[in-house]
Amino acid sequence: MSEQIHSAPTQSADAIHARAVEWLLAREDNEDWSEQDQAALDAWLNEAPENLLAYWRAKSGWKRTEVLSALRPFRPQPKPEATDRWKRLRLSMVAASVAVIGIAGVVAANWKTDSYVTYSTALGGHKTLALGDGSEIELNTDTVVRLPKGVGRQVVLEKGEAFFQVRHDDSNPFVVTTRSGRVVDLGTKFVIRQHDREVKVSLVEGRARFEGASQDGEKRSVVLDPGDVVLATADSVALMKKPARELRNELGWRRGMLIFRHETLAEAAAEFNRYNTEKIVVDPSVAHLEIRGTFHTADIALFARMTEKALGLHTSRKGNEISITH
Amino acid sequence: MILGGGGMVETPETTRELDDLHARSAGVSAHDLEAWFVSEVLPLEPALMLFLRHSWRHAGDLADLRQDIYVRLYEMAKAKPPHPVKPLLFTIARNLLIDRFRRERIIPIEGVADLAEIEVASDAPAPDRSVIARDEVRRLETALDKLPPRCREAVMLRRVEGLSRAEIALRMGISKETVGAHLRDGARQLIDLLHDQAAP
Repeated sequence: MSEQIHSAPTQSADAIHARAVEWLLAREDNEDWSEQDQAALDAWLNEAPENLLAYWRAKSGWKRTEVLSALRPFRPQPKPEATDRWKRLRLSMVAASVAVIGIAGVVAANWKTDSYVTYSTALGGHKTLALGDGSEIELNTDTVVRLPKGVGRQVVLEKGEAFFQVRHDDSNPFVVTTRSGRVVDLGTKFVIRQHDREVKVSLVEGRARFEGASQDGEKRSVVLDPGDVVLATADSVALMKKPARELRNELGWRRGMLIFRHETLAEAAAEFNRYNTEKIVVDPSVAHLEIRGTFHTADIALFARMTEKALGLHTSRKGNEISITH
Repeated sequence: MILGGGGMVETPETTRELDDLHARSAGVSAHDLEAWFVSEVLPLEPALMLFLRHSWRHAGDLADLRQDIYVRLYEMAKAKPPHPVKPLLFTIARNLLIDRFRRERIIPIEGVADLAEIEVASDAPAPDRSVIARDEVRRLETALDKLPPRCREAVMLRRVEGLSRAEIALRMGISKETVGAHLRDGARQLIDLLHDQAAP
């Protein structure tokens, strides 16, 4: 009785959806996506509107999973035994992932002294260092760290921001020194940001001890639990508590994302300016407006468009400067 | 004030990405059509699928019905995308179902009865975007938990760690081909779950 045959579609929707996903992943995975590849994709898209619509649908759905990556709590990934070979591979692979995320980061490693190696990232850069002891240091934009050669665990954060995942060792503590105090690991993940004279330490997981700089020989020391944030200068230490979600948002940079929830326009612009040579200048009359959103660190253009669309503001460009005004 | 929280960001980016994708010579640019489809049609998919599910018994046909409806809508929209989309989308859906009912000689009692309800439900005011964003994360996590463990691991390494297929293969100790299969399966299911919120 079934008469469906006469209008049978060429392919089932599920099959086309699967094909669209294949194209999407192939394109995303292939850094040297060639003109031929593109021509093949175009040909497939032009073959039937079913294909085109399935591709648009798949692309927008897949894109939405980025939100997840930015908000997701960190779970330690199960890692295979770190043989020497594997460790070397991992270093190169982490470097490759920088390109995948799409951050134009230039990473430089310079021999500074005989006993130390300096690693740095340029504006907008991002790099992960895998240390011999299994610890990892992830450098954010415009950051310099100094590491002792070999398996040393005495790290100096010269400037910028870095995320530390430390393999704990009671007999050989991992110590990060900053301008305004140092952090001693007690089995932990934490992030340190150094800005002018101020250093901010946020504890994500585990425990660590913060020791303030001591001019007068008197150490200000505090043990940090998850969610604890220390703000320290040469002569002051402040401790506060932040919700886990907020800390995760602040770590969006690890995925190349800036996540704003209660930020003012001025704060958001300052964040963007950490990553880009183009600078956003916010007129004081609109600086207090509150915004929400998730952006790629490099996507100033989208940010500017959104302030126009959502806040009804005006943007104008002059050289390397984008002004946002009423 | 809300700037592009959650899914809202995707529309302009999608449009921009299309710059290098392909240039079509229809009256409306491919950019605009894609942006229209992503921002105005796809958000209606949960309501559309709810309607189809209530009206059509065979779950196995739903994806094909949806595809046919989208194609009909697209053909009509190519010259000038309609705003708002919803009335047209549901008219197309209704007509397509009536065709099918006729062809299969089914008397669509359930379908007709449910139609009124669904339309009311889909007219409810849209929730706040932050609620949508929260729901979306929850939905994604639920969806991820439904994937087989290795499949989920591959998707997480791609989406959270930003690793390439070769890098994931290295990390998981499996072949690139197997990683590819895990990613395809995972992405397919996640995409369906995101668009069609009531998907099983």
